[in-house]
Amino acid sequence: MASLTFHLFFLITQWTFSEGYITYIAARLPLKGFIAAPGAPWPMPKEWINSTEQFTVDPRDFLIVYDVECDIMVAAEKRYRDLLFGKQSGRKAPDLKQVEKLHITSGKCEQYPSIGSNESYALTVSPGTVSLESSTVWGALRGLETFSQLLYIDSNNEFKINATTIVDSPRFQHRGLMLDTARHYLAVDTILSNLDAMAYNKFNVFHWHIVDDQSFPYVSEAFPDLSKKGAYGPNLVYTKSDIQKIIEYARLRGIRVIPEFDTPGHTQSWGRALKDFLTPCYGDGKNPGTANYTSHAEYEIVNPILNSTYDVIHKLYSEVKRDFPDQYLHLGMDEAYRACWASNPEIKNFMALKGFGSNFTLLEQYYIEKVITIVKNMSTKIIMWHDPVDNGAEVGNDTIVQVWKDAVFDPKKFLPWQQYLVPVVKKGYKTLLSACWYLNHISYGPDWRKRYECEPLNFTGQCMTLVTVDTLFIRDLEFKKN
Amino acid sequence: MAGIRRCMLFSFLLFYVTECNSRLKKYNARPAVLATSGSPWPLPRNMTTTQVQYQVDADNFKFMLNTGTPSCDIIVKAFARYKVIAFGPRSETLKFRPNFRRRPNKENTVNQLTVRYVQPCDQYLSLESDESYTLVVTGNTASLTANEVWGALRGLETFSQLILPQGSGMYVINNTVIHDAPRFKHRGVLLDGSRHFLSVLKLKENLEAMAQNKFNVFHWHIVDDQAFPYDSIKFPNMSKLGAYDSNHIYSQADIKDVIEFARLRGIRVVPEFDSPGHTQSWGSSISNLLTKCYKNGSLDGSYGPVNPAEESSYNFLKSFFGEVADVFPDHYIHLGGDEVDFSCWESNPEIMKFMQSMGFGKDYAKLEEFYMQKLLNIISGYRKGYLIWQEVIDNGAKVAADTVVEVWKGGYIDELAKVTSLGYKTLLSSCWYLDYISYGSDWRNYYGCDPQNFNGTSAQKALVIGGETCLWGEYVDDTNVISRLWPRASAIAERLWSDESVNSVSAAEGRMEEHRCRMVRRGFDAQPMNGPGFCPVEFP
Repeated sequence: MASLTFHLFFLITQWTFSEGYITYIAARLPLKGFIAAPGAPWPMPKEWINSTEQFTVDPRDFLIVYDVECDIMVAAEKRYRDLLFGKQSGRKAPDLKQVEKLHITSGKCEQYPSIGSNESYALTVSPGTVSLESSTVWGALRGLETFSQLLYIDSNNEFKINATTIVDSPRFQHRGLMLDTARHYLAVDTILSNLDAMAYNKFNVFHWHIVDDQSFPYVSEAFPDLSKKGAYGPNLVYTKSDIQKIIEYARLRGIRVIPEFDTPGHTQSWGRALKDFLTPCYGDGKNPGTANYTSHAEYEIVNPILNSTYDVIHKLYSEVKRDFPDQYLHLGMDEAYRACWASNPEIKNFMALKGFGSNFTLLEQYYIEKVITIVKNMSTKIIMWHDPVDNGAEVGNDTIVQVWKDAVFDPKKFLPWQQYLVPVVKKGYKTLLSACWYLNHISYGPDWRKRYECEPLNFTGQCMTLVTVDTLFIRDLEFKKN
Repeated sequence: MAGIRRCMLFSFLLFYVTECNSRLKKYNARPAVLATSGSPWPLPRNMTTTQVQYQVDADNFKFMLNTGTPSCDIIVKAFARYKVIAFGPRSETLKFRPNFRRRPNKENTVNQLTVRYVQPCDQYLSLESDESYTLVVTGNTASLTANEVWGALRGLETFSQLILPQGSGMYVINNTVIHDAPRFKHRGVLLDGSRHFLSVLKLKENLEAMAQNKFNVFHWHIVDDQAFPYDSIKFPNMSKLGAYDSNHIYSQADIKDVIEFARLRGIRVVPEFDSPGHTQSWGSSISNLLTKCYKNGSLDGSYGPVNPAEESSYNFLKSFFGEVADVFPDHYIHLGGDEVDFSCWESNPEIMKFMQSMGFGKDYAKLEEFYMQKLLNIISGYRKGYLIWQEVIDNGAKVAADTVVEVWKGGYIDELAKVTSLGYKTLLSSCWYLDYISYGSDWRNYYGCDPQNFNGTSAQKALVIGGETCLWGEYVDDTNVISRLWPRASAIAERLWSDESVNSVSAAEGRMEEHRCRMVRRGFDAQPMNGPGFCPVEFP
């Protein structure tokens, strides 16, 4: 609390000192809160000390220098130079001390970010040189972004930056944003643009929910019919080249790309291409492939009793693994509704044979175990939604479990998210929270506030387990066990 | 949840060709709602089509005025505009084959639309204008007939929606006969330039979208408490001190620009200078205009609505509105009159004295009525008509008989009955506040709201001259104005244009899907409305 007052004090003094903001009229109903001091970074750094002393920059000869040979730094230098000095028409303030260069000392160059990557950095703004120190190139990226926010152009068109010392590192290691390219196709350029926005906000995971019931835009070489028959149209697909472009764009911004190929539910589009992949439902009680709306369609949910199913999973996931370099793969596993399985006599027989009785959780568990085995053999780590864990399934002790359900979606169906998160955490799983951050659920007003106030550790627990948060369209937070 | 694929093969009094999306079948995709093909939006009053299709010669297509029809800039510019709207810029359609000449089959080709109207063009659309038209596309000829140029504009838009791109630069149109006219004469969109500034570019983009949805009134809520971006000629300090900053101002040139852009599209620009409330931003430059508030007997530093007890207030208003009357050519000015908080008036001793001298006692509604009456007289003096929000009537004021009252609050069904029973022309906006966003397919609610849905005589119902959809600016600026407004506003466009009986949401679904994708193809960021799906042309 003390440091908050400390910061507020400097914010207020900056407000009175500098002039880089608009003058609001004093209305009878004044705008609430403080006028933001210009040059305030978002997200708030861990430690941030600044003063009212200001320096300036000459855009024509400001240097960004770095000591490590690294393609990421080469690209970053160019990108931030363009961002800071490209379109903007500012010039140096004649009466202030000048900062001539940004000197970046980062440790090693790395190729791809991972869950354990060190993103910490220290940034000191003083006349002459701004120093940015980090132990990895990822920290350098985060520091560069912060620097780009500290430097601003005031109403006189002059570059200003306050004397600042920042020591920063993220609270959580997995800070993700999920996009859904199955319900509506998103152009590659849109995805790239979003990656830029993510980098500006220090997000570091792009969770790509790439296929689902409605469409299958991922072009598979192993199963070309998947996109041929499953995509919305021939132009509404992601080719290998598209995917490489996206992964590269993300990599240069320190963003991991984790694809989600959701099964056994959410697979309608797969069924258009793959015969015998979806379970035939017996809606009329006698014939396969008959619907019983609203319980189930003609075919739905992956058929867990056929060996061919696992051949497909193996082949497809192997290809996905080649396309996506991140160590993790999101397997989905949410909303595997039982009605179709329950209607199918072959499944009934299978369950009897296996001694599952009428317990579909055991069938779900059977499916999950087989998929996990396939995936583990590819040296891939797993993220999945929490539904199977809720159902009592065991999903592997180093699987990351993502919690999405919340009473706010449907108070009749769901509980507050803590009631899902706590059992997951108690079972020892690393966890991600998304439940309070479904940005597709829009509403009138400044709804960012309730998103801001959702605290992933706001639950009663004994010890701090490794919790990461992946927000559907929003941020994830993670912290480590002490 | 499994989607149910539907073939939309239904009709009311209309028949139209609806391919059951053969393109979609091929890809077996599963949008939640399948788009129709070739259905105009809003739905015309009478439309007959057959399966007979003609090719359209896009390269050589001509819009022609029939000899004898008086030309004017409106129709000439519309012809140029619709050539591009219907066929797209040539560079887009034949990017890779720039020298390709499309050679449609001569026998079945429509290569011209002949336009005919009787009256010489008015300069500006008015409430009395005739927007009816007849469109006939048979036997390779296409003709558009109307009484006034405004009907021709509406017909041109419909015609452009009947032309269906087939890919590779080919277009077709079905054999069609349409007789069309709007149900309501006042079909408006309100934008708020005060809570957040909207650039002239965005205002124009929105006017174009409005024209393509047959909206005909732009209700420009240009100033309010928070900011005064209107650059007044007589009182330049109002924007100097009242605008958010010098970059967020509508200059006289900007205003002329917007009015002209609207005029050419048959859209009236009705400005709203809301008073006596919603005027905080006026007070920084016009001293003594706003009431000074008191607390415990002394000035508390805050200000309230316009001071109705001061003659100087009316002198200012007379002068200011004289300018407004000149700058905005429409016959109507919206005078606001909403949400007047009486508490500041009640606290002010001078106003208390005034109340006593006027014999109002403690009835501040009477003071409001007094103010509004004087304001209306000022406006009448400039030979303008006026619109006001409902409160003025609700608070018991008796205003001039030709006032148009706009109903915006809850309980609107009863309010419509009340206002029309008092004999006033009425507009409805209550159910069409598009600033209130929510998750899901909310256009269905807007579509279902009918402005004549109240208990009243037919004379009363005839007093409902239309309605407006309002996009207040608390959470809207250039970054989201188009996507937030469209295609949700299209639901209201149809409600106000099409016949009362065109009210089935399930019948409208597929057409709304087609219309949304049409707007996307034409370059508008019209957001998805019906759940999962796609547009054939996504990214112009």
